[in-house]
Formats: sequence, C-alpha cells, structure tokens
Amino acid sequence: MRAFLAPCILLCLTLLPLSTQAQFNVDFGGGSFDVDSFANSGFGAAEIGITLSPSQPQPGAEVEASLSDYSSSLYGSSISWVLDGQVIPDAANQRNVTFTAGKAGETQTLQAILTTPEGTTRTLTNTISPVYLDIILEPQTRVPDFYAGRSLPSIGSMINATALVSDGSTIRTTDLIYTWQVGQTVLEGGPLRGGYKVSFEMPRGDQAVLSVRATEPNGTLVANRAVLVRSVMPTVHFYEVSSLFGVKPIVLTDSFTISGNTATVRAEPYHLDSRVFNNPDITEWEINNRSTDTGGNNPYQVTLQKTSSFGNTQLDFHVRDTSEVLQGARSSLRINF
Amino acid sequence: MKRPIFLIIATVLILILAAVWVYVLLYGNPENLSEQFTDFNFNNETVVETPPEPTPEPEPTVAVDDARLQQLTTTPVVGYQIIQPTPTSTALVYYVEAGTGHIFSINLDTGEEERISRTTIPNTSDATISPNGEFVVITSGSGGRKETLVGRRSTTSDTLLTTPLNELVDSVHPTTNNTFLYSTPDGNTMVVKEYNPTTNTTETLFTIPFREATLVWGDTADSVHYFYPKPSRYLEGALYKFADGAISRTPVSGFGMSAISDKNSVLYSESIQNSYKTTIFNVENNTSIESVLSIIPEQCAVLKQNLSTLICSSSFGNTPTSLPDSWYTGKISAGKQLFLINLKTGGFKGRVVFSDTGRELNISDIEINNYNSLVLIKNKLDNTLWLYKLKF
Repeated sequence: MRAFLAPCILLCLTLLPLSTQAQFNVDFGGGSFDVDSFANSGFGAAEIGITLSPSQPQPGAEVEASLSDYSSSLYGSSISWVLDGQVIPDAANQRNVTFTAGKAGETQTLQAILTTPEGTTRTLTNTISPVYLDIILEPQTRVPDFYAGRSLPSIGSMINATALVSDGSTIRTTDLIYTWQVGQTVLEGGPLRGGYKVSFEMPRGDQAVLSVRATEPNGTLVANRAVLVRSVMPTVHFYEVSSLFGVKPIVLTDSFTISGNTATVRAEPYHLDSRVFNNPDITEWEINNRSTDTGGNNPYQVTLQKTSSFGNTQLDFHVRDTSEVLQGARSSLRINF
Repeated sequence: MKRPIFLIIATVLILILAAVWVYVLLYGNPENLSEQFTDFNFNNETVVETPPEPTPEPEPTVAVDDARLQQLTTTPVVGYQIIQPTPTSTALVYYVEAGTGHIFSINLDTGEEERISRTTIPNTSDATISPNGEFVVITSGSGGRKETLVGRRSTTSDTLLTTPLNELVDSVHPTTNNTFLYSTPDGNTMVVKEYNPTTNTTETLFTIPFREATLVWGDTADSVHYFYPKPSRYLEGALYKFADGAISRTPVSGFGMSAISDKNSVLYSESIQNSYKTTIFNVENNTSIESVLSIIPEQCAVLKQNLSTLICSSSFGNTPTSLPDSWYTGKISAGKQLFLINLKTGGFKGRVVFSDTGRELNISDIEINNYNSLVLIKNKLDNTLWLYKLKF
C-alpha cells in the first residue's frame, strides 16, 4: 500500500500546478496578463498557449494565431475561437486562425475555448494591442535639389534611422527604450533610453536587415519590427543647364543635340554618398575619350562649344572616392551638333 | 574740208556745249515742278498723299482667347499665382521668371503682359506668391548656398523690397491670410513655421521628428497639415497628421507613398509589387476606395469651396513600374490629360486630352483659383506656364 501511495502522491504533486495554471493571473505592474501569454514570451515556456505571428502586429495587419497544445490532458478537445466576444466563424476545431489586428490604441482579446470530451472547459486568452512602429530611413546620399524624392543607400554610405511608435493618438519617442540591430550586430552598444534615432553604415551586399525593439522602462515589450534595407549603385544623369534660367530637370538620355554654338551640361550623381560628392578624389570629364579640364568652379558641370558645323562626339563623366567610402559612378552621353 | 576750218568748227561747238553746261549747273533749277513732270491728273483733281502717323509700339501681349488650353509663357517659371479678388473681377496671373526672379503680370482679359518687378535675384530656383500678390518668397542658389528672400512689391516703382529669411528653407506655402508657411531643417528634424510678412514675425508651429519630409499644407497655420517621408519606391513611408497641437499617425502607409488631401479625404499612391496603385482614404470613417487610375499625387490640386474634388493629371495606360522615382528624376513624362476626381466616390469625370496642342505636356504644380474656373499648369519639360479654363 505504501508503495502504491508514494507514486500517487508524487503524481498529484506533479499535476496540481498544471490544473491551476489557467486560473493563475499575475500583475507585473504594466498590465495584467495570464500565464499563457507570459509563457509565450519565452520565460519558462508552458505546454499550452496561444502564439501570434507577428507577435507584435501593426494596426490592420493580418495576424495568425496558433494554439500550442502539447498537453495530453486536452487530447480530443473541441476548439472554439472568440475575438472580442464574437465567435470567429469557420474556425471551429482549427488550431490556427487568421484575423485582422484592430486600430492603434485599441485592445483586442482573443480566446481559445477548449472543451474536453469529459465536458470540462479551459479558456486560453491573449490580448493584442496594436501599435505602429515606423522605421524612417534617411540615407546620407545625394540627389539634386529639384528631386522630390528620397535618396537611397549605397554600400558604405551612412543611414539615419528614426523609430516612431504610435498608438494612434500620440507619437512616443523619448520615453521608451530602444534596441537597434543591423543583422546580428547590436548598435550603440545595447538598449538606450530615448534612443529612437540611430546612424549606421550600409554594409556590403545587396541588402541588410535593420531591426528595432521598443520597450517600456520596466521591460514590457511595446513593439518590434525588422525591415529590409536595399542598397543601390550610384548613378549619374545628365541635365542641360541654361546660364540664365538654370537647370532643366529633364534627363538627357543617350544623346543631346546642341542647337546653338555652346551648351552647358551638368552631371548629377544619384545616391552617391554625400561625403564623396562634396570631396571626391576623382572627377573626370572626357570628350571622345580624351580628358578635358572644365575650367569652371563646378566640377560637375561642363560647357561645350561647337568646333564645326555638324558632327557628334562622346561625353563621359566619372566621379569616385578612392580613400574612404570607396564608391563612385560614371556615365556617358552622345553629343550631336 | 581744210584742216584749220575743221578745228575752228570743233572748238566753237565745244565752247557752246561748255557754256550750256555751266548755265544748267548754275541756273537750271525749275521754279515749278510741273515744268519737269508730266501731269497724269486726268480729271484735274489734286490728290495729296500723306504718310501714316507712326503708332506707338504696343505692350507685349499673350494670346488669350476662348481656347481652353493656352500657353502663357515661353520662358521657364518657378512660381505663379492667380490674383482675382471677386469672381467677376479681371483675373491676373503673376509669375516669377526662373533664373532672374523678375515678376510679371498677365491680364487674362486683354492678354497684356507687364513686368511688375525688375529686381534681379540671380539663380532664382523657387518662388511662392501670396494670394493678394503683394508678397513673394524667392529662393535662389542650391544646396548649402541656398538663400531665401521675402519680397514686397513697391507701390511706386517696379522694384522689389526684399528682406532675407535667414534660414535654410525646404518648402514654402502661402496661406489664405497672406502669410507663409515654411519648413526648415534643424539637425535631424524639420521645423515648420509661419512667417508674417506684414509684421516680419515668425512663429514655430511644430517639429517633424525626421528631416526628409514632404508636407501637405493646410490653408492656414491653424489648419490640419499632413506630412510624410519623401517618397522612394524602395523605402517605406507613412502619413502623419498635425492637428490640434499634436502629431498622430494615420493608417496610410506604403513604399513610395505620396499623398494629397482635402479636409476629409486623402488620395495617396504607393508602389506595390511592380505596380503603382492609387487609393482614396476617408479620414473620418477609415474607409478606402481603390482608384482605377494610377495617379501621381503631385500632379493633383484640390478644388476650392469644399467640393471634395481633385483635379489631376494622368496619362498611364500601362503604369511604369519605376514610379514615382523615374518621374522625379525627369526620365519619364506624365500628364497628357486632366480630369476631376470625386474623393467621396472615387469616380472621375471631365476628361480632357491635350493631343490637339501638338505639344507634349508633363503636368506639374497645378494651381487653381478660388472660383475653380482657372487652372495654372507648369509643363515640367520646359517649365513654361500654361492656363486651362475649367468648366464644370
């Protein structure tokens, strides 16, 4: 008898915590949540719970909720999904359900109601509070003044990134703790209070992953997000310049015909690092493959003069940094006259 | 005949001829013209021909007629405004010439063009004129050498009285109160201010937490303003709103996103998987309507008087996948037609095709007068100014 009692006692002690987990609510000061969602954060993973993908959805995003159930005690249970008190149709007895995250600042409650064959009910709950986390990228590369768009990053160029967290009514910046990563590298040495802005160098390769994690000072996760940052090769476009009216913002593609005796052409590099543009090691103009001196104050501009009544020539421009950023661009244009 | 007699006769003839020549030289002027010219006055009527009086050289005129689309300038312009205090008063178009900063006025009734400011501001690259035409903000130079001046038209001469605005100005917008809203970079942020040219005072309105921002301006400093990161099809952006002293995020976002707004709706476009999609978002009830046409919001203007209507340009059958970057660069041309878009229903009407001009148009910077009858367009291909007379 004693031999039989000992394993029973041991078994009861093992099962007792499992039977009380669903009713065990903990308030960590930043809001109440049940053990299931706490377990999903990775701290002592429970055998049962609801996992969300993405874990921190943005407002209006499509969210997939999955029931993680490794407990044999709920084998054969029926599953019913309820969102904000409304049963989700067509989700009965499904382990996964898809729904749309609500508006920023609004809280949604997702429940999975498990009914065992014996008739006992267990409810798993997860709350979703969508917030916007925007990552604004501002590459420090150059585009012309008349260009209304944003410049793009090129390899080796500096990028300023700004994280803006919004619950729909206000933008939060300095009261959160931010952790930035480029690939596997943590920037700024680790989390920073109010560190919603960061600068980094575009690494080699076609793209890089930039991620940011924003938490409350007490460690509660507010939002996290990762974006793919693509790099481009710097390019050069040619534009005609009038000495009186200024630059004509239409690209000279392939060829350009000089109508008068002279014409001024400007080479505008796109997405070239600003440091290279302002202080290039090489700026070269070539006419018919022969280097020519522009003689003017602007190394990106050349004035051409007809030397015969008709003909054509090849105009080439090359800009490059050979010491620090190691990037450059070149292009050519056919001149007809 | 003997030789001496021949010589005597020849000498006498020569002397007679010489005497006649001397007489004609000294006394040959006729006293009466009729002695010299034959009178063809058959009926003996005297006809007096008088040369026409020289007429003074007329003022240069612009061809303004009943044609709905008209080219107003052959020189490039950087800013313009329609001055028309009442619906029945004569409409004047003020424009600022690129490169020189000279200001011209065109009377749309007579076509008469007049230079109202001869003050030269070299390398003028941008200009904004107040609705009453009295003030102008002119930007010259480029990059770090940009300078911005506020000009006031002199009432006694054709000079411009200028005051420097000692800040690097990114964009300027006139208000209906004849003040100017402008944005100026400050480190990694952009500060939005209001400048009153009458009192020469400046007031800070709000700060955008990033620098590369495009603003969708309200009518006054107290109006709702929107802003978003400058677009690129490879970078994501979102639309933010400044209202009642606070910045908030709207549900509008996307790659290459740019937008235009009236008070209740936002028309925005974004790059999605090699296509360029346009959507109308209602701010009040958070609903969206997808437009059947791809529109670059910078090619639109809001009709006045709260009509919830935009006038826009589009020319895409097959939308280029490179938008909007390729249009900003100047690689592609857009805008062969104009039409009106109802922001409540998403429907469009009044399509006008410009094929009969024989000119290629790349429409940008649409301005419309307070009575929705006159539309100014800049042709991005050569920055000339065009007028379109809108009729509903």
